[in-house]
Amino acid sequence: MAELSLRNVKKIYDGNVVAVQEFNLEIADKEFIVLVGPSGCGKSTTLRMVAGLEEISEGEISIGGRVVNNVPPKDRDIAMVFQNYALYPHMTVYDNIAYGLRLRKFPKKVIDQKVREAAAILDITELLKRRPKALSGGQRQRVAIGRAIVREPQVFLMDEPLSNLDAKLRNQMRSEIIKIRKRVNTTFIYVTHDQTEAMTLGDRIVIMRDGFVQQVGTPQEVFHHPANLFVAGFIGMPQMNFFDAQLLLEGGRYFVELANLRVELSEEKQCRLRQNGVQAQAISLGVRPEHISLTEGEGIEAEVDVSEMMGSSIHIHVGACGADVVIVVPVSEEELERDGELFASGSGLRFTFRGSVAHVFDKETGHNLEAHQPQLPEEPEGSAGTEDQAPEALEDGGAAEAPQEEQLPLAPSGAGEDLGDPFAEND
Amino acid sequence: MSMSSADTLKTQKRADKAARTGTKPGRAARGASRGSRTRRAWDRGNEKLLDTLRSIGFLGPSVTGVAVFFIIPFLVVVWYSFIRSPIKPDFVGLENFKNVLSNATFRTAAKNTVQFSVVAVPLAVVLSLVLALMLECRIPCKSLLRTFFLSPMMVPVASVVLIWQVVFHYNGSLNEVLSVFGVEKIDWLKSSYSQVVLIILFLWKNLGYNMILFMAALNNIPKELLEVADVEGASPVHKLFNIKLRYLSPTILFVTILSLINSFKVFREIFLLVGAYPFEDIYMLQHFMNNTFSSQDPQKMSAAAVLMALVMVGLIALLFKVEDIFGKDVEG
Repeated sequence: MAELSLRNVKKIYDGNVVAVQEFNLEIADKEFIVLVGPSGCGKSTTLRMVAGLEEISEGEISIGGRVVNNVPPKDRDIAMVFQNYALYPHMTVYDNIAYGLRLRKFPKKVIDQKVREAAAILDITELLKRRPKALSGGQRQRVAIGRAIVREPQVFLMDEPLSNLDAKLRNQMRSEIIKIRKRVNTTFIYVTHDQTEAMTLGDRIVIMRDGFVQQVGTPQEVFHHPANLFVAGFIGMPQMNFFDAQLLLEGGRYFVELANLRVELSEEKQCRLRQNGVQAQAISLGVRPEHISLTEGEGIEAEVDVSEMMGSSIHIHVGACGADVVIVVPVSEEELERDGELFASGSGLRFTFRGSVAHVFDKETGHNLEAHQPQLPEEPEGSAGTEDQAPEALEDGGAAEAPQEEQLPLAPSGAGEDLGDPFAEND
Repeated sequence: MSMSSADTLKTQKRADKAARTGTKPGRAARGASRGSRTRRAWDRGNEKLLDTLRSIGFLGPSVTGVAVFFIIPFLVVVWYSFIRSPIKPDFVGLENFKNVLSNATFRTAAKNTVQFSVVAVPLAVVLSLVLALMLECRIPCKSLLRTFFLSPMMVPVASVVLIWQVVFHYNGSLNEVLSVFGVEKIDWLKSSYSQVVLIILFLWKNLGYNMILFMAALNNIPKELLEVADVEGASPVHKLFNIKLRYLSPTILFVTILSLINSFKVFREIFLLVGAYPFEDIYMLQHFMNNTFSSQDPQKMSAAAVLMALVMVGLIALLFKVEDIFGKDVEG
């Protein structure tokens, strides 16, 4: 159990290929950090630098206050779980789990006790005598996790541990990891390209792209207040809809105008934009599929291309304002029977959205225009109660109300600024 | 006369209907279904025959080549080893084998071959593995060294032998260099040193290829396994013996077999260096076979060849068994 600090960490491979650029992060003791991003964004390289498997080109990494730049992996007191399990095929499950302890010359009795404890936690006691070849993917990953937890390391590193599993097993193992985390109670760094894993597991998420950190924040922050178009598009399933729209400023009030629809932004957004001195301009407007609602009244005309029935909701793909738009509509069986025809291909519909869920991005830079404002006025208590205001409430200290924020110690102050988190000052 | 297609269709439909309703099909329908069954069986048979012909077509050329140049000659050799002579082919049982085993020259040749292989093969395996491991580390001039060790493979044996003659001749360059340090002249190829020279020549010729095989195998070891070992605190020696050698065991087997076969083929180099009758210490089994063949004694030659083949098969079987014990868990 230890805090971890990465300061100006950079990784440059031969031939001047920059894999990680100026990575700054302060990780608190027992925090669960998820590094997420598309392939080649530098997340695994960062993890490997923490593990000591990759040399650091520039910067400093410290674990528990000790700079470990030149410390070999074995002396960093870390454990790592790999994507392809990395189990020794010639050893039994027991021997695989006991491997690290044996190398560290633990007494036999202690090894046996620790291995059996880990096996019990992971529910693999009956597999201890088997070889990895005779195990399923999920069982192998449990063994790999067992090998890591048995040593009780200061930092637990996981490099896409669920990527080799099928969707069902992945979901199951995800909840297993949450349980293991509670029992092990140490610092975790978890790398994934799956935003669902990032959102469900992480206390804080670090979103990376092309070696750069795009945003650091709690799952709620990155979901409700994406720092830029990339984060907005990467986090959330289905992906956020983007439109070319206009930001209007009339009588000191901000509106977004999309085709025939004009929507006034919510009070919090007005405040942020005003404080940032944002002028009327052409913008990229982002609205999440689940925040779009169908309307009988004023709205944007669209024609249904395809409808996907997802059980409790229906995903309607429509063409509107020159873009492919996805709308998520929660439906019951009765509603579907009654209004099913509305969602059929070719049928017309009208949709709208509220001012509190519209994300306004700079058309040129892709940055969120709400970000980087100095200070927000205190929001009266209880304002997070309504559905409309929920995202903004998190911004204004509401994040502290999120359950995991209560459980976790906060990162050292100033960490957010280092990371370039545009919403850091709101926390 | 065959039924028209319309009739067949009708009867087939009737049979289908009968199958659906559970009634017994009429005679015509039964006939049609029997007919279609026969046709299907005939088609299956044809398909199988075509498959076999295709396989023979593809395999034929290589099977013919292997049979004409290896299998049939070897069977002829086996037959020769059990007869009095090709002119008077009486079956003599194991007499030829007894003759060969009691032959002093054969014994010397066998002893020399075994002695050479016992020293040269392990050296060829271990040294090439050491070189591969060395080149795996971060050392300067890696590719230059790799090319250096591979170059003997590319040079024809005959030209190499010329250089070795110049080096190891009684009046050769090595003796000249040694004389500077006051060492007396040694007849390298006609003394007890001859086998040492031969081992050096064999290693020089074979190390590069073996090393490349080991380097490829080392590259195939899953990196994560070594990284886990690093994280868990394994020493380089532990990693070598518990992970690398485990994964290298199929390659070690292959390189050993290859070196063993090459050690039996070292005759070529000796023949080019010192002719058909070299110094006693480097008189190998293949010299014996070559000379018995030249002196038109095919029985002795065949019996010696069969004995050698038996020993080789036995050794290779043993190696496979050992590899099976060590390598079975790490293979696919």
